[in-house]
Amino acid sequence: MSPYPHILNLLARLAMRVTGERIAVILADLLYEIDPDRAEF
Amino acid sequence: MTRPPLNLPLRIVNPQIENLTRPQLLALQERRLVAQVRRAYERIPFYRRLWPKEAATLSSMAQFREIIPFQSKQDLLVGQDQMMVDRVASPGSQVVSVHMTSGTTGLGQESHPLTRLDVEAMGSTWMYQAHWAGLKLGDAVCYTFAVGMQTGGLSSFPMAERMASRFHQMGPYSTEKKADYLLQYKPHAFIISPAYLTRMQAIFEERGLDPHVAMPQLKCIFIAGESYTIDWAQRSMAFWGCNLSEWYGLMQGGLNQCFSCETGVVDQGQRGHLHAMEHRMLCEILRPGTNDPVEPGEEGEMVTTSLYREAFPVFRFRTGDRVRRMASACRCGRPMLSIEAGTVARYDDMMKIRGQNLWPDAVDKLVFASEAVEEYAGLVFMDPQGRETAKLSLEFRPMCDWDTETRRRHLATLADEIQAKLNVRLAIEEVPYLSVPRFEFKTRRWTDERRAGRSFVKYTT
Repeated sequence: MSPYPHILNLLARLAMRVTGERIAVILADLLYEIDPDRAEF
Repeated sequence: MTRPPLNLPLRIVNPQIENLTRPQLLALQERRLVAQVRRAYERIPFYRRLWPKEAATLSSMAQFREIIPFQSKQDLLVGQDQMMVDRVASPGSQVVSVHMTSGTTGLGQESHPLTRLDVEAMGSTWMYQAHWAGLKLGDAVCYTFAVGMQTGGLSSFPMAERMASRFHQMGPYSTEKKADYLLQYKPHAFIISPAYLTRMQAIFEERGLDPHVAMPQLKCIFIAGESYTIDWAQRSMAFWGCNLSEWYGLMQGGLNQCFSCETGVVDQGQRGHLHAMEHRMLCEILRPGTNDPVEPGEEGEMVTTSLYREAFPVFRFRTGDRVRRMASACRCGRPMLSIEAGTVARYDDMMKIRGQNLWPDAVDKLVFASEAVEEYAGLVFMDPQGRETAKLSLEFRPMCDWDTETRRRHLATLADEIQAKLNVRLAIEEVPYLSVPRFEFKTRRWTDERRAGRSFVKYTT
């Protein structure tokens, strides 16, 4: 399994603050999925 | 038993998880579990009270199993009025939503606070099931579950948003109207319970509609919530002209957590696999009465832990759900643990009627509130139109001196009371004395004919 090559860490934390929150949440959830080194958002 | 190789194309959603080896996946799961326990102990007062201080420095899965206690529904129901103080991680993100469990158990409704991330994550696991079932971004999906404060309906929105699907929430409408909308919007998939799917089939048959012609774009039907027979699944797939895909999930575990893959709910005449999202949750399947994990092929109770919920993760929740751990790996080759499709059930014999959970002891409480009643028998069946129906045959005591009209009024009042308190309408009739069974030990007053196979499907196809 090869790691995703562009590990996004874009992660918005900008946090109409509300948009930064929304972007950060989307990116954090994505990183939880595609970065198996990520244990801890 | 080794099944032949999979000839279907694999639809990989996330190679970073699906292509892990089993040891790699378990190592990831352990790292996330350790981080989640430490975080919960540090930030959530509920767990600081409940757990030993060693939780702050937890270092392994083995230690987790030693020091972290199980949780039951009753544990979570106590003290909910302090939820926003006691059960929200602090420091942490703002709570943006509170989802409730369905409340149809008769035991009470749990409230679960959610951050924006928690809501977002509900859509992430759904992506696996949707893609594995053959849906594509932008496909149309109809959803038939009711929408209220319970998570079953609310979670449909982040699920649909994640797939960028054209989404039709049909929950509030009648069955007839739902059928109209299926024909009008021609979805690529719809989400429904197994018994309700049988009812929907009856509607289509009454109208003389063939889904192969009326809904040729249909790719998949997503089902959950009830067990079913292989025969029922095969007949349903033949009628609708598409595959079935099942999920298993619960609010306490972080929502949907086990899914069918490309092989579906029936694979080569045998029950299919539901793959657990083990990078996001821990599934322990334990022998009833002990805390020993089951062997592959055995049944046990699902005990679930959310590894990713931010506001209030739940740890080692005893679901009361009976699941069977699959005896062998799925032909798809994915590394996740899997449970058997179509056989998830509750240990306590709870019955689900028209989407509502009905507990026999809850009915007992209402029926036997009157001393005039001696015994009853309950029957759940599908009527000739394919509707789930429940009937009580009730006997009055021989010494009951009520006249016929008084007895009739009592039965009508009882039916109203059961509907008001349990959300299920029962047909109640008086039967002659000693005509319903008596038991010497472990009384079982209820017969659920649906569990013996779907007779309606058998007689109409």
